[in-house]
Amino acid sequence: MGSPVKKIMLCSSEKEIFSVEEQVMVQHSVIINNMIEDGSYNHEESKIPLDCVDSKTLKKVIDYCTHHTHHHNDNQEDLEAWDAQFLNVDSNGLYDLLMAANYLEIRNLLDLIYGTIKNMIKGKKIDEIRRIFNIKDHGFTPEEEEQNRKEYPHFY
Amino acid sequence: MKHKAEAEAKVLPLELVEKILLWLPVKSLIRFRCVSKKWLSLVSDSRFAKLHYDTADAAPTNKNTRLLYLSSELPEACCVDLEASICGDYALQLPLSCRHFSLSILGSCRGFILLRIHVHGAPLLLWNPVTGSHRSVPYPVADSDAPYWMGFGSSNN
Repeated sequence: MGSPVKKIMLCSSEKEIFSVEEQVMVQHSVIINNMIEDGSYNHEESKIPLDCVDSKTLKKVIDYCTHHTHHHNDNQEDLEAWDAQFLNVDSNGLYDLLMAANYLEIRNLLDLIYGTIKNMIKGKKIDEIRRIFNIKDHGFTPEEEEQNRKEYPHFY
Repeated sequence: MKHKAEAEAKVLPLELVEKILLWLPVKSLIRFRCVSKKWLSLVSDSRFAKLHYDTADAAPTNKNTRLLYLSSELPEACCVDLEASICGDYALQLPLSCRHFSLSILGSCRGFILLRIHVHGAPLLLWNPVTGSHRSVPYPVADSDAPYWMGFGSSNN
């Protein structure tokens, strides 16, 4: 029978170690795939440090990759329902996931998050967008801002 | 350290904002030009316009056919998404220089609209409804009333 499942170690910003099936991460993360392929990961002693990903977020990311590796043959509806449930997080959680997925280059998770944010902001007014994206300084002069508000009152 | 500082502020880097905006319909992009100076220059950039066109082309949900028409009453163009709900139409601000003249649409290509202003001697106007920018295009023949035919050639830009 086959050899035991190969594992790799991921280390969160809190220095917590997560042991994950290598295949799961290689399939989803471009960065980790490259590290394994070019031999820069040593299975005996390496840990992949993910200094900008906290444990809570890393656990979610691993959940996502694991589910999509083992359930990729599920029907589309089931997968979409799982994804929707997976992304049922607050905006901070979504932000952390986006930063992590971007850092690890997990393309299908990135697309999922972009799609979710797109639906979140599509019909929103300017003031709401500024709040969602935490834009404190919009960079317009008071005159420009007033002009925009006057010209497009329905945008605000 | 840098990552930590960013995470605390929870402000998305502009390159990720761009990736999100690429997914949005033109209608939202027009509005989002007012969000901030950075968003305005992002959306107005020709590189973004090309990326957005290609992304929209690839995403089936954004591929809806749109009908653009001019109203004789209002100094704006109306845009109807033919596959969206009946309330899915919206107004687009025409370039200021031609808002009060009689206009007709001569053609469109890759999201650009070619407008004719019915004023003797006025040039044709190539208009980008997303960014609101426009430029004059000289008539192919000296006499604007002479018959002519139009077509679009392909070019990389």
